[in-house]
Amino acid sequence: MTGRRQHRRVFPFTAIVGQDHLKLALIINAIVPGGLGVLIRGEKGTAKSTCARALADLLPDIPFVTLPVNTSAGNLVGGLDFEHALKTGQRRFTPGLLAAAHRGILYVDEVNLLDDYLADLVTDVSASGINKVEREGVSFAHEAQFSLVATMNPEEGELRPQFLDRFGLCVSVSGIASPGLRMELLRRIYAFEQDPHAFLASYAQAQQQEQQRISEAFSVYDSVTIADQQIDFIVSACLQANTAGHRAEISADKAARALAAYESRTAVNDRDIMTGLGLALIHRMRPSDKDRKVADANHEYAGRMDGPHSATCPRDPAGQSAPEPIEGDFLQPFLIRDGEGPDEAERSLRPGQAKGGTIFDIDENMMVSAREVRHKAAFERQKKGRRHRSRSQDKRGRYIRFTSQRTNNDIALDATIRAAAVNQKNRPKGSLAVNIQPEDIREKIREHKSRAVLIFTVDASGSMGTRLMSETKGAILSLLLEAYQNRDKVSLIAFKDDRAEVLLTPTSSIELARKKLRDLPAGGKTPLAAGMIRGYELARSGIRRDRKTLPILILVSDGKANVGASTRISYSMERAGRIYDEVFAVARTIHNDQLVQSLVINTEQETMGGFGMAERIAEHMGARYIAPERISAETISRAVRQLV
Amino acid sequence: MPPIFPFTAIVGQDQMKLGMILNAVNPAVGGMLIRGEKGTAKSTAVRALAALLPELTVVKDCPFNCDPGDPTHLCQQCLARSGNLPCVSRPGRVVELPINATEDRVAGTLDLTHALQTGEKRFEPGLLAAAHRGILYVDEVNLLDDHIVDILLDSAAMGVNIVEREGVSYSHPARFILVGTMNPEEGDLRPQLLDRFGLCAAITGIKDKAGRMELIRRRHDFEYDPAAFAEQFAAKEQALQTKIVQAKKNLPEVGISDSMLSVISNISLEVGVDGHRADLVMMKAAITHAALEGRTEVILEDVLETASLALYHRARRHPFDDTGLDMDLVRAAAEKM
Repeated sequence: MTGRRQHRRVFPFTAIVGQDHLKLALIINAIVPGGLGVLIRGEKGTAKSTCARALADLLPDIPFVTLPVNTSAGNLVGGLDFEHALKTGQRRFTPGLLAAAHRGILYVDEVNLLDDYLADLVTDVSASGINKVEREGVSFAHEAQFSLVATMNPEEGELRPQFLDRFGLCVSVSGIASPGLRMELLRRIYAFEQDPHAFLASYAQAQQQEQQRISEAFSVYDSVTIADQQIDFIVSACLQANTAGHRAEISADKAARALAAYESRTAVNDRDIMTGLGLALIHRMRPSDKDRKVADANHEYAGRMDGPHSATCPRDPAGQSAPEPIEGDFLQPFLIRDGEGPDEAERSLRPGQAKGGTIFDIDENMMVSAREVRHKAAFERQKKGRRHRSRSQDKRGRYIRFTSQRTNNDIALDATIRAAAVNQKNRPKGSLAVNIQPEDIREKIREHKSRAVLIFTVDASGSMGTRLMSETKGAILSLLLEAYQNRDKVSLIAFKDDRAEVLLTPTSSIELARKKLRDLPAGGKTPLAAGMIRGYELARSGIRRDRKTLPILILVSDGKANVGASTRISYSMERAGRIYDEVFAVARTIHNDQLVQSLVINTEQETMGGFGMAERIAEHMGARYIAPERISAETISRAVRQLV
Repeated sequence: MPPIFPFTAIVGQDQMKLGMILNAVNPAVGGMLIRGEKGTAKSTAVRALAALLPELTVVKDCPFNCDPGDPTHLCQQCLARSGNLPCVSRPGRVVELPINATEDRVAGTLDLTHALQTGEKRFEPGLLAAAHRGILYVDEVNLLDDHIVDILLDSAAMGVNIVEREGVSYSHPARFILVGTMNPEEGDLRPQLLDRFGLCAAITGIKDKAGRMELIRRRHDFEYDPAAFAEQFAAKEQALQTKIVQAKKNLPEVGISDSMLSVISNISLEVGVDGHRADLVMMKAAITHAALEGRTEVILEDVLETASLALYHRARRHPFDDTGLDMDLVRAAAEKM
């Protein structure tokens, strides 16, 4: 039962339009002995995996093993061969994907969806080059040297730093902007699909030449020389980019040599270095320093160059699309376009009037970059509270590995049979081939991330301070991105005048939430209790639907209630007491519900004296509390994370 | 098996019907997402479509529905068989993926019975195998568990289902038309999955009174006597099926001129889309539309008729905005050329 390689008609590598840097990175990976690893980042539908598969097809001598994201650990690292154990009673190792990828490429599509446990296994083995297996009574070690090639769409989340570090090179791809090239792309795909035979035949020569060129480059790679001065430059560029460890400069150096070899030169030239640095540095630079460092590196390099750099990227074997010369801001073409944070159109939005109230602008300064959040999230991953990533009791989720501890009868059949297999010699034979005893039984360990539902219950009444409101909006927006990447859901309730309205039922669409939040009007009275009731109802209905939901009620208000929920009475001194009695009663109900967590963000403006009601509400709710002066994306994000 | 409401008896919803017919003619169009509120005939339409799918020639007894005429996409068992492959013909199939489906049932798993009885590993095919060359239908696709979505994304992207689980290593062809329905009120789809659906149509309640009355009347007739109702629409169903089969035959003959290709890429650039999938789908849908109309050359009408199906869920300007695509923008972009 093998079949790890399918013979299919693959779109030829040399027929792929554009994506020059991606093609170069993959070629470099094939030329450098042992490979460097390539991470391909980019939006949907940009030929990421087409390119990777096409190169694999061009170079059939390099093993190309696909690691599907739903692989179980045993298939990755290998384990006991149960057929052999049944027949002979002996333990024999059956190799996994890591063994198959030895001296080749381990390819992962959508690598950011790979389970953490598997990512850790791959990271370990990739770093040591040896796969040590100690499972199911089998003890085995074998060499596993492979380069990782992976694709990801950053919209779906980022990689953890130690995993990211396994990729020597990184390319960021996006759609082609030129209408002419877009058309050419359509033309070729049309031709390929109408008559694959003829199409493949027309590229046969180009494919053959490319293959030849890569294999020649591979054989001369070792004889390529690089000047001390050039190494010096690579090292200083990496120092400036503040990269951790030495992998960046090693990768840049190897990539530059490979590029020289690819152009049949025996000496590295400056352009090789710039391209190599671009590919090796892009994912290692400190994000906050990114722009400055890039500018500095460019500046310094410009000073060293003698004259304008006129060389171009290696020509395309099929003879189309002369790539642009690399000059000026040398990292620009490689820069990661995250597609996160507000786009230009939104940036230019001004606060305006809308039907039914003022719309507060979103304070962009309040948005933490998604990346900062991510880095912190990665470090804090281990201390997460309620979000159990361990066993899922209800048999949902992805089966990753198994255990001999019995808790829920979620039997891991494969592991159970393997456990029983080795003992068959000593057991009476029944009507079945395998005699399974209770001690053989293994259960599945599934990973089912419980999802949080962040229910933003936002005071949209007239008393809300302008500045705080726009800061709060900014902070909430940066939470949205984090929520999406954690597969959490968000929901939005606004209350003003005499009612609370659900503007957004729990959704994982960050775009929708962003839009609703942006257009949230403010003005009118404050039916605080009604808002809290609505939020709480939503939380409960989420739990009814899925017991593993973790609802978090986030109340954004200055706490100045002036309309009751039940009576719809308006504010007057003697009624104020009753309105707050109601608010506190709702707050205590929320407090008593162990499944619903809450957070109160006080947006009361200090200048107006302040009544401190929001803080008292938070006490009654048993909620975390954020005071007006402490509102920032960072504090809110941290508070939410501690609740999850 | 409850009686099926005939496809041609569905009132209105022309975009949805067109999208489904395009998929039936040319699976390369890439499936279809149907967005709409409750009670808008979403599931009825998908089940009705099954009756219109052209007959398939498959290898006899092959659990993967291999096509004997396509040696590059055979499963391992068929590859291993010697001599000519025995063929049978059977109707196209809709395989339903319930949202509570488990991973092993979707992707396939270790065949337990076989393992226990013989002590040998064998792969037990799942829903993806059954859906090969047919329709994989997911009702309420937005409620599907994330890890199941990942499996769908993987096989939809490659046309191959690779299983590396529970000690089984197996891969088999899995090229299916992914058809999903969703009620946007229940939450949205991940962008990555959204993009995998070639076409997307939003369903709305029928506006005019006559149409609504006709709908009630047909529904009543159908429930009162399904057989008589089916009889009443048999000729129409037959005609549509013939049209689909004929279009399938025409498909390889259809050409597309550079000026049409440039209209397509211009529309994409004007509307603003991620990547190139929108262009590809627009091209394939236009070609399929031309084949359906019995033409051998794509004309502007083919592009315009199908553009909104390809762009509805991809236009960057108003993501997840239910107002849909601005067709004026599309027309303006097309006329610019």
